[in-house]
Amino acid sequence: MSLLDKLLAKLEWLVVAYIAGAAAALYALVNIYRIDLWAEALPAVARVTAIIIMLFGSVFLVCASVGLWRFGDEWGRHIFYARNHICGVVDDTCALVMILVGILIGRVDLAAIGFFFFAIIPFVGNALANAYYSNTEEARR
Amino acid sequence: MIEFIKPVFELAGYIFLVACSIAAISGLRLAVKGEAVTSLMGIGTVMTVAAAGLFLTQILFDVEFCRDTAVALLLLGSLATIVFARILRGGMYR
Repeated sequence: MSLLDKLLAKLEWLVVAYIAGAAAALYALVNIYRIDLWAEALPAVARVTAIIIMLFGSVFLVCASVGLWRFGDEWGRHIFYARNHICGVVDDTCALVMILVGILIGRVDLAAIGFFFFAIIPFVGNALANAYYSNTEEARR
Repeated sequence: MIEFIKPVFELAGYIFLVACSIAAISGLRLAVKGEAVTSLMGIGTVMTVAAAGLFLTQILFDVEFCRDTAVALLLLGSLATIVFARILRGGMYR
């Protein structure tokens, strides 16, 4: 089991720990440092969460790009479906970053367009795979 | 508080823009080397990451027309990908 597998296996605990830490930071900011909750403390925690989501999204984008570079034509004609999946990962990452960052920084238009794009992604992937199947597999028969 | 976090948010935005650029280069490579459907897929990826980058540019630098361009890219790009994939399949109603 690699280090990445171990980290991913603990991912839910990392999320729970982050939420608990954010709640503790909010409590400390409001009750100890006397910072206004709605005007300053909550937007600050939301911005920090948006920063973490963007950094995670960057990691996913770079990993997907490396995958697109690695899977060349030497893997056979069925490699198209793997590339289609990788492009779906890129689309999903961009849509989720737009949705979550838009909600966290209070930009509803960004989140709305992200939601629309997130809903239309499966249709795009299905149409591309269907077109490739019709062009190659049915033509071989 | 927000003033302290703002530079870090901008730095994370720049890192995400660089990641979008790397994904766009991979999509362009896919678009220029493959056959028709593969090129369509690569162009779709490039449009998606370009739109996400434009949205982030609008957030970071307050350039209003970036948002409109990103909306047009996302809506028309995804719909055009579906339509051209249908055409490449051999017809809209097949």
